[in-house]
Amino acid sequence: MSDTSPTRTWLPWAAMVLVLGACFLVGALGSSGSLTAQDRVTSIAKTIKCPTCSGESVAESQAETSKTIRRDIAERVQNGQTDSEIRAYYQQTYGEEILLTPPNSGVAGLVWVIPVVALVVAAAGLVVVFRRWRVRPATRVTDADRALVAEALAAEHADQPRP
Amino acid sequence: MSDAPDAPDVVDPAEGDDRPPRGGSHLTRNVAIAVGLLLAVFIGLLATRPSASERSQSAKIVGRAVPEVSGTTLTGTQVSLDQFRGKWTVVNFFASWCTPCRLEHPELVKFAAAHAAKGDVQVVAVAFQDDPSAVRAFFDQQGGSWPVIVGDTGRIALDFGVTGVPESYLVSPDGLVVAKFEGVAAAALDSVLARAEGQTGVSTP
Amino acid sequence: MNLALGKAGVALGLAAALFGALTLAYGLVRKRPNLLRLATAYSVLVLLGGMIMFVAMERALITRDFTVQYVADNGSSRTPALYNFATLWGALEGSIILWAVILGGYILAVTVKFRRRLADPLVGWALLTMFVVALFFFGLLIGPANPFKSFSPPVGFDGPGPNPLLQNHPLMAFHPPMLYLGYVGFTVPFAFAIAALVTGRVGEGWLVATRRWTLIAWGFLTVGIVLGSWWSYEVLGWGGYWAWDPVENASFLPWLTGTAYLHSVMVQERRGMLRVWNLSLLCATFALTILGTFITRSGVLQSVHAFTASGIGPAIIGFFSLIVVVTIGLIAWRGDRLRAPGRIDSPMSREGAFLANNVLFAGFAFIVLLGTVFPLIVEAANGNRVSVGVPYFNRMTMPIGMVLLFLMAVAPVLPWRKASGELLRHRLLVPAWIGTGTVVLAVILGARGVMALIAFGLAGFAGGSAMRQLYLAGRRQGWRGFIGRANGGMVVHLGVVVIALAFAASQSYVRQAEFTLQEGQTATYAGHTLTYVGHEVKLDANKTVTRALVEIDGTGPWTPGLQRFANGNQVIGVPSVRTTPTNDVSLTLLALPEGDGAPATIRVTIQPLIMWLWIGGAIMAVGTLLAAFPGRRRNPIDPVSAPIPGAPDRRKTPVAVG
Repeated sequence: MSDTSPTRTWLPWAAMVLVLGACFLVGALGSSGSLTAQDRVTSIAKTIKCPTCSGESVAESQAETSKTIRRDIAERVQNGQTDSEIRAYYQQTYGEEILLTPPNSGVAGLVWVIPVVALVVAAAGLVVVFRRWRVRPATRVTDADRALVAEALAAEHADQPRP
Repeated sequence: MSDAPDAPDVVDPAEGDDRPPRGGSHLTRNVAIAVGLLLAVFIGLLATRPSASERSQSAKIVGRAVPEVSGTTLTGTQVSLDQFRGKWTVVNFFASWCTPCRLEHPELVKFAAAHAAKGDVQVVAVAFQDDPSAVRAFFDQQGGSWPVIVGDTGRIALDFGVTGVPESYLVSPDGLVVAKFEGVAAAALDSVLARAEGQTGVSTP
Repeated sequence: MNLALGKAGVALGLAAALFGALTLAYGLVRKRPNLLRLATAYSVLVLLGGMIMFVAMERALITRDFTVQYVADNGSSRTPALYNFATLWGALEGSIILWAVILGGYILAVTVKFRRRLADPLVGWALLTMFVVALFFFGLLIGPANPFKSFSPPVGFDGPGPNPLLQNHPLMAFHPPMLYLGYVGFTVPFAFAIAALVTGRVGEGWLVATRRWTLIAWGFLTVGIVLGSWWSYEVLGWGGYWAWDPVENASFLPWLTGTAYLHSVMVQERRGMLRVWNLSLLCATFALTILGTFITRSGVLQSVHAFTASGIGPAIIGFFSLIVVVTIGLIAWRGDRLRAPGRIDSPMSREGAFLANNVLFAGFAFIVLLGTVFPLIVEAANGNRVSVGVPYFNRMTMPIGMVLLFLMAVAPVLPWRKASGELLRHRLLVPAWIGTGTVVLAVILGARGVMALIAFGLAGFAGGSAMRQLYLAGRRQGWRGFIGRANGGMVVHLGVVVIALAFAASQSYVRQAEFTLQEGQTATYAGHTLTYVGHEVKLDANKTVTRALVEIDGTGPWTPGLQRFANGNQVIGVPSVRTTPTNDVSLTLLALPEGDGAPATIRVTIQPLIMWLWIGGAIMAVGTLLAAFPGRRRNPIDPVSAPIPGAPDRRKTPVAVG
């Protein structure tokens, strides 16, 4: 086992953190890559459901309606509309269900809230359970148990005299 | 395969079931009952849902201004819904390959003939994802003499929010979409028309 | 002839399941071991019935016997032979035949494996449960899902053939059987869980004994899901392999709970804890397979993978309710008595890690289930219709996936009971460097985006940890260091790591565009050149195929096409994919070129590392086989992990056992 001087122990980890930090910096800064208009159309299309298909998005489906919608999105992108404006148009024409991302508010917004609540509850439950395990032993020794043990020891003592 | 022997946990049926067991709590039972209730609600939900194919799509366009409907017809002329401003119009999305469209077509013919004399309602058809020659054959077979917009009609369908065929929309004389039909019958069209005329107080002479 | 044979098979299977269940029930209640031993005979009859109807239907399909309604609805004289064979499971009724046959096989396997213990009530109850499940599925075949209805074909009748999407790729022959082997396989541990609850004998290793059955079923399910994903990718033409579609989610849910079980059962074996939790997981896994059946066949949720809706929904939901009532009832009744009085000493221990693993997988399953059925909930609540699609699932499950990767890295080096920071630092140093190296490599190769880089780093970290375990085991035990539960598990982890890397890369760096090209024209996109060279038309027996010839970076020509099937108006796209270890370039023909010299519209999708998804799946399958390999029998109370510094080394002093 190597000597446990703090520097020796932590140096490799510190170096690792530095290297990772540098990489993430490069990753964050360089990430505004050249996104063509096509890419923007695709990313919007991925959030819009194909109205005549069984659950595919407009980006994926090959139905005629999807192709029309993709062309329409491309036109709107070219005309300078923002993503939210385009999505709003489709929501107005086809209803809320054409957007593949559920809304943030109302009853439907619960779908975002419930998992977070469940996670918090689960984490809290784990904390409670671990604390209970640490504080209270699972079985309690009763007087009856003590008597039983004393009896058994006495019997053993009687049978086998200790050297 | 067997473990070292555990403490005996074969339950003695002579024990009373309501005595709290070793752990001292009814946690498992309570959690199980709670989960059971949740699942009961869940099952009830699943059991009472209509099948996806039975659901009709919502019609957001109803109550709003009619989108632009224009294009080239079968006969080669340019037509636009604006030409019929001042009259009621029925915009009928159909396709020659669609069986329910074939079934509803005679009803449209009947309806158009009934109103031809009065001239108060104009039917305009829009071919949805269809081939002009197939559409021509369809009309040759089935009759109907109203303008049929063919060609690249995707934009029009998109603006109406069409999700399948047949779909028909009743448009008031001042350009408001009043009703949506998924498959028409002449009688239904007439009754909705009468009700809408009564409501808006608009009727054409 | 086929009709009669098929109906006879169904009747035989049904009767055998019914009488088997009744006999076992009587034998268990009246404590007659001789009756329990009859289980073997009944299980043979159930399987025989299943095989007879399987053979009858296949014969009808291959000979295009249109007097059978199922063949009239789904077969065709123009369908190639392989696809006719696979049409057995291509539509709803036939898929139930496959399920019932596989179930018969599993029941027989259980009676054979446990043939020396058939008189044991625990095995008896398990087999009883399995006979009841078989009764349900054979009952479906007599009732709502009858495939052997007769039909009088008019002269010159030819069937429409299977759905065109089901006849253009050979994976059709493999994905469903693998998936069903997985689904049905979970019946076995479920049956034993019920038996354990009924008899109260949870602590005798029965759940641990069925661990290998669960592992095998899980392995089949994994392969089935990966194959399904691959098939979607090859056939549906949008370069996607996972769409969080309700049917896909239906297959994923039992996989998630099954994975949780495979881990927590080790805590039970080692510490005797989590017994009731494991029982619940097994029951939930089986219930989820039935729920999945419901979602796929009832039409309640839209899906491109669903069977056409039919009247089978109520029957399945009824069976699901029965399972829920029985399971919850048994757990509520017995559960508190069966809880072990143990405790987990420290969260930083392998037990703690497995507990965290279970919480995460349970949470994952909860989110997937919630998202899948949420549209139904909202509709029932206020009539509105919303969609919960890919953006939701990705956003919610990504963090869980990341934490799971982290756990995968740390857990294998955690000892049981308690770990010290020093120990962890020492053991995790090399894997952490491998993780860092992965990030550096990715950045050098041009990958950007913090989320993706974190994913790569964590995947490398987990992979490094798994490789460390395998290396140590190999060094210690030679070739035996690669087989057995722990080592096979590390190989499976490696497969998961490969899939995670491929998933992160292909999702983060996908590029997609559409081009309308004249003949001879070239387009450049994302570093690749595409040249539209020409097109060709081919007439098959049952379809007309128009293909565009496209060269990618000078290779090819690749032939994305459109198939128009003779019976019906459906035009199906056939994508063409150029696969290399670095990326996949997928081409889809969007619009038919109208005549010679006309332009073609082609969609290009470029995704990196797709091939590694399938390779990762294969690694997982190999790992499962390695893990199922019988290892050296070990006394469960022998110490296995490194001794905790300071504690006396018990291996030196003999310890009396028993």
